[in-house]
Amino acid sequence: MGAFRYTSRSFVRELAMILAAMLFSLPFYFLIAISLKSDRQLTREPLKPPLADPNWGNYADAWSNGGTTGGMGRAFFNTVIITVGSVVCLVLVSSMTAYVIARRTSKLSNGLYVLFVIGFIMPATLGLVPVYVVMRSAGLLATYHGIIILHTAGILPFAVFLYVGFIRALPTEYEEAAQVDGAGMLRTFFRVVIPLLRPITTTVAMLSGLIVWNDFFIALIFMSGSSIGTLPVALNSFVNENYTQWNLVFAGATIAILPVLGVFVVAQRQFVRGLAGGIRG
Amino acid sequence: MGTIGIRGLGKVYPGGTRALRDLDLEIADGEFMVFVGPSGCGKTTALRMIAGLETIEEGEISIGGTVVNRVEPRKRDVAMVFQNYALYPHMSVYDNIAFPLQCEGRRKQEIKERVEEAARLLGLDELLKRKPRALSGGQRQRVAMGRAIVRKPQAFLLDEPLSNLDAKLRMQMRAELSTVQRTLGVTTVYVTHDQVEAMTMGTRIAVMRDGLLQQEGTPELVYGRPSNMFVATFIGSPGMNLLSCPLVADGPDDLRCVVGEERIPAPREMHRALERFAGSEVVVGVRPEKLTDAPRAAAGDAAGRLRGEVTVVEMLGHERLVQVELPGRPVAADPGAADKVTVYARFSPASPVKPLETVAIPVNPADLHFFDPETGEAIR
Ligand SMILES: Nc1ncnc2c1ncn2[C@@H]1O[C@H](COP(=O)(O)OP(=O)(O)OP(=O)(O)O)[C@@H](O)[C@H]1O
Ligand SMILES: [Mg+2]
Repeated sequence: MGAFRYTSRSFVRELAMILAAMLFSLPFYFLIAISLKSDRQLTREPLKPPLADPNWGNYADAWSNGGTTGGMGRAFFNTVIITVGSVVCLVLVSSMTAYVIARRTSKLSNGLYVLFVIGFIMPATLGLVPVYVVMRSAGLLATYHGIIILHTAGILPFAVFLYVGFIRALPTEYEEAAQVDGAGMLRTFFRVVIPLLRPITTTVAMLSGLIVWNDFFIALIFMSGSSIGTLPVALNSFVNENYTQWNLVFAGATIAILPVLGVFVVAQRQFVRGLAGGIRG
Repeated sequence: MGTIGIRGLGKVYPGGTRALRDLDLEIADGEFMVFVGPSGCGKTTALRMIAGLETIEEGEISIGGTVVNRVEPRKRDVAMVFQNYALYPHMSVYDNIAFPLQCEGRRKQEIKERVEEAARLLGLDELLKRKPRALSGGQRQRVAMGRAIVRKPQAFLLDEPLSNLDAKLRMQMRAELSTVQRTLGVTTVYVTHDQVEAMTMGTRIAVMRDGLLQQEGTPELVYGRPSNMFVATFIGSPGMNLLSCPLVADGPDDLRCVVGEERIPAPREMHRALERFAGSEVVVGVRPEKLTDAPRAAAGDAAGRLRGEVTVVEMLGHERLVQVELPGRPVAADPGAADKVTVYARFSPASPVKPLETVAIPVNPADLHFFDPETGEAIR
């Protein structure tokens, strides 16, 4: 890096990257700009920046009483519970499952792995109706735990797949050392293996969190008619057949996006490292 | 007590590699036993079987008098140091050393005292808060050692713990390890492929090759009375010189080895054992330090000489390592090969010897070892 020289080529490259970055931020610009406009501003000058007179009230409106489900506030709370619940369950279940699959060499564990891979490849929508019927008869529709179970099960094959790949590349020495040091299976797993899995856990948590947070379809079907609406569902209810307040929709969308953005900024490094694979001793 | 008994131990890995064959060893309490042998000879396999990390299908292992074939590693009460140390990367040095005690469910205060005691013994006091990645190789080695000694187990199992260190540090740690082991008096099994480590550290050595135990005994015994040609050449640096030569009877009670023009008498006490080789070939071995330019005092020394041409002279400071080409047959050479065999000799640094000169090195018959050219076993 010390020998880096700024040449005309690096200038061109920099310029291209700046342009690309601007292009990617354009939607965000519209999102924020429109979310801060009053109804009047929106119809007259939809693209102009609302610098002079930002209408923060849109956010309050969207938060407490937009749409048909009682605003984004309630939905926000629901979505947080469902996302956190699903991610925690998913990480626990998939890491344990993957650990056994990766470390046992029996036919059974190989067979299980194949099963998970099939689950990963098959489109989930195929099972939608039977799952709905089962969920209904089990009384799991429109409950937190019901939807958490559903999300966990839905993303499990993908998470197991990621974990198995990572664990297979992990040296067994640490676990052997723990065994000889006198640790039982649970202690070995929670004190030694789980910490070693941190990069891939970050990746799994972020990817699955994103899926659950943004999920519209499953929430719409399995939570319909209840007070447990999630953010995407609430946002959807802002869009009315006759009259849509787009500034409120955009404010709502911003509310839904901000936490995701925040988490990503904070955990970006870890996330990339997990994707790149490997651990550093 | 911390005795380890190994009876008829064998190992075939899934896939069919045979790593170990019929190993029998009794390791006494407090003993420092070294497994030594070339790469792939099954040392690590044997060690891992003692630790319980490989299943036992053939034979039996007992620790402290109890057969442990079916006992889990964590219940065997042994501590292991891995070749790459396997320090838990996310834990501090303190936590790494404390881990075995936490597994035993010790109280916090006791753990603290014992970790600090171990740290003091190994000079790790200052490093307890660091993570393994912030340590040098030697320090990591010490932490791994700390994790082993903190528990006062029945036995230490060490797998090439010094192989990742540079030469100087290795020498220092060699001495430190020996001292720690002697202080604690814990039975130790130490695996290495370095015969110097084996000689300097072990109270007993087991030389292995291709999964087979070749010889076991004190360093003096293994060095002084190697049981076959492999042990003779593997132990020592350079190893024992071997040459294949005809054994002739020059009259009653006079057996001699023919090396070129020279006829070197075999020691009298060997005659009985050597008799059946008279008229055929035997392998003669002699340690390099027995081939010197130093004047010999004892009478009868001049009874034989090895005469040959110097090819290489290496000045090592305290000696000159001289390679001499003798007329004779290297061991296990194909019949068409040239009748030349190179032997090493240790000359004094003051020696004026130069390449291409001819030297005649006196040999004391008592310094000769004899091996059966067919089986490679020592003739006794
Ligand atoms: N897990 C395994 N599966 C199959 N074969 C193995 C396995 N581990 C070792 N082997 C084979 O068993 C033999 C002995 O291996 P081992 O690791 O015990 O040798 P070693 O004496 O420790 O050698 P080194 O000095 O190189 O560590 C070798 O031929 C090796 O290839
Ligand atoms: Mg090994």
